[in-house]
Amino acid sequence: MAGGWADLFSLIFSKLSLPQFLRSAAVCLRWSAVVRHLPTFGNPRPRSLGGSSPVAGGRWSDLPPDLFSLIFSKLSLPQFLRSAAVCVSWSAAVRDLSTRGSYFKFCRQSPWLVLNDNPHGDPSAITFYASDERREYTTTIPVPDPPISDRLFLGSAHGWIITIDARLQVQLLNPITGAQIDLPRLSGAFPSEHTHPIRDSAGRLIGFMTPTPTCQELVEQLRLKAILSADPSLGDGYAVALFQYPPGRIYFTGSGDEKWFDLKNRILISNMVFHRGNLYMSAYSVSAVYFCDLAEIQRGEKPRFRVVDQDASSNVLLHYLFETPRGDLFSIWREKGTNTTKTVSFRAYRVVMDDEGKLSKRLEKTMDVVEFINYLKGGRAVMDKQILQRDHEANDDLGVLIALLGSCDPLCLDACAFPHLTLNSIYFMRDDRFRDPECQDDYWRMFEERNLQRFKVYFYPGCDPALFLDQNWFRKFLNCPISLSDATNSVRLYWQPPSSSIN
Amino acid sequence: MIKLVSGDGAEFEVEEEVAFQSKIIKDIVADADDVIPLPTVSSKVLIQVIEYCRKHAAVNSFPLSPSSSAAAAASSSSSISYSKPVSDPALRAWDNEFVKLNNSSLFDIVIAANYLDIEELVDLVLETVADRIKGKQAQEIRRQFNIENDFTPEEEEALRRENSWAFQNN
Repeated sequence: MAGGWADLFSLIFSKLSLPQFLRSAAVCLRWSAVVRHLPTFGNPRPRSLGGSSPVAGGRWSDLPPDLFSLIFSKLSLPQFLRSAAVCVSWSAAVRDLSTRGSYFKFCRQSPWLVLNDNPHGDPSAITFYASDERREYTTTIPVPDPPISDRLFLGSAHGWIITIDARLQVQLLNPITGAQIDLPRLSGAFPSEHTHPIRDSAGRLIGFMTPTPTCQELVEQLRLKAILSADPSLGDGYAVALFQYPPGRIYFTGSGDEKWFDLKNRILISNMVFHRGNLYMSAYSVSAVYFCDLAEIQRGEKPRFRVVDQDASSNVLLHYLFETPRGDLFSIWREKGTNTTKTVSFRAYRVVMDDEGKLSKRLEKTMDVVEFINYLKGGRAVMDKQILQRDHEANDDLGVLIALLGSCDPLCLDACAFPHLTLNSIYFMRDDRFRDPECQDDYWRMFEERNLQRFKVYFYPGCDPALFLDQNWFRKFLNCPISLSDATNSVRLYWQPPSSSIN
Repeated sequence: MIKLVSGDGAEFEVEEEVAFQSKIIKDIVADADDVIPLPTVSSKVLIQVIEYCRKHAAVNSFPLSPSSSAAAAASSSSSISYSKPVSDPALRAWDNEFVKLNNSSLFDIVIAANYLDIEELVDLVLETVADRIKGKQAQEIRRQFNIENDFTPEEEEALRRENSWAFQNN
């Protein structure tokens, strides 16, 4: 009967996990003997976690679900979707992961470009340039009204685009699924009721004009930028912040809110970013990072702006505040020499906040600009490249990312898609305008006029997308062979592909 | 020394730090001269896994500097955790050579590594697999990984229609 017992044991043990199986050996001498001898039995073997037996040649069609999830998390969104057409089990794995919401994350999505190009004249078509795959995709998902040519794209996050139409209606649009969420109208929030759309020769919306209340002859163009805190596909609890410049005012609305909330403040904001559901801002006037607790707004209180990080140096040329795709908040101060506008050093901090929004840690690294290499000359942009010779200690700072910093919003790329760039590096784009002392004067003048409540058109350097939308920049620096002609194929926006759910 | 026994009965004696690259073995080993049966791992695969563990045990045995563990603690507090890339360039080069294997060998290794909970090895193999998937259409992926197309033509067509933009030929 001994053989019968062994069969029974192997049946029992086959239902155990490996550690449990091995722990069983400690129960008694007899169990221990069985565990030790079981592997050499010709009879049923303990079940492996993957359900596979040591057969030569693997079956890639039936991987364990957790391994599917790991492989697919390393793919781009279209490659993930294409994988569904391989076989029934891959298709089931893609479908399963698509419904897991925030439990399944793509670990490396580089921003894509949304092009103005519309080859077939289809009003619902959106053309993308996938910088990681170096190719174009055109989606023709039926997009709800108004047509996308009659909208401005204000920003993108979590796979969604924030748009505004000629009636000042703001929408969240998912260009992959065609889903749309209407946000409150902005008309009440703008300084003037007489806001007029500006269109190009093809009739496309390109901006808004408002007559200024103080100077009727002066017509200014409103510039807007919007950010989104979380993926609306995953449910409520997301927030949208809108930045109007000039005059650097911030409006806020949460999911389900019926109006835009004006975050009245006296600080001249240069940029804003969501980090873990809260709003962080950098300022022109003070070298500081501000924190705004959005829960205060939800409770109906007037939100306070608290300083959470500060740079004591008076030589700050530019300040970059951004969240990496890994979810870290970075604050980088670019400093000039005392008697020159040239960048001489920069300080990179990772700002680590505790649960109450207090600064709990600041990981600092100061680096001198040792060498500037002219990477590209011509046109508007002169790129300088500075590779940080990071030592082991700093390796974790950016993960496998590359940060590109210029006079516009920082851009973070996954190093894998750009093997010719050095990973864990910060590349600085030299910005001629900012080196120009006259522009510095503009910036100070703008600040003074802000206090005088008189508004005029000036570039807010933090929001000018021109540099990263330059054709040469894509071709020579990012190694993306994209052709952009001004009229038909310009770039509308950087689209951030979804990091998780695509439902 | 720890003795590992493969599914086909071959015994391998390895140093503790080599075996401990597997989190599961590390968790369950009670005393130093344990015998650990690995019924689902063939000796061919076990040899490869041990080779990997031996290399990584040798490199990882250098103590981490205090600042790097502080940075690691900070990064683990971020909302998304990613497996850290292997930072030593020589080890990365060795890893790249190690995974120059055909897909069926890689499959056996990743199943074994997953079973033994050797996170870095799982990640290394799956990274390689993801690289081999990239830029390919379904038909090429099937050929590459020797996967049978078990869809009906109608099912496959429906799948392609669902996200037709992703299937555009470049």
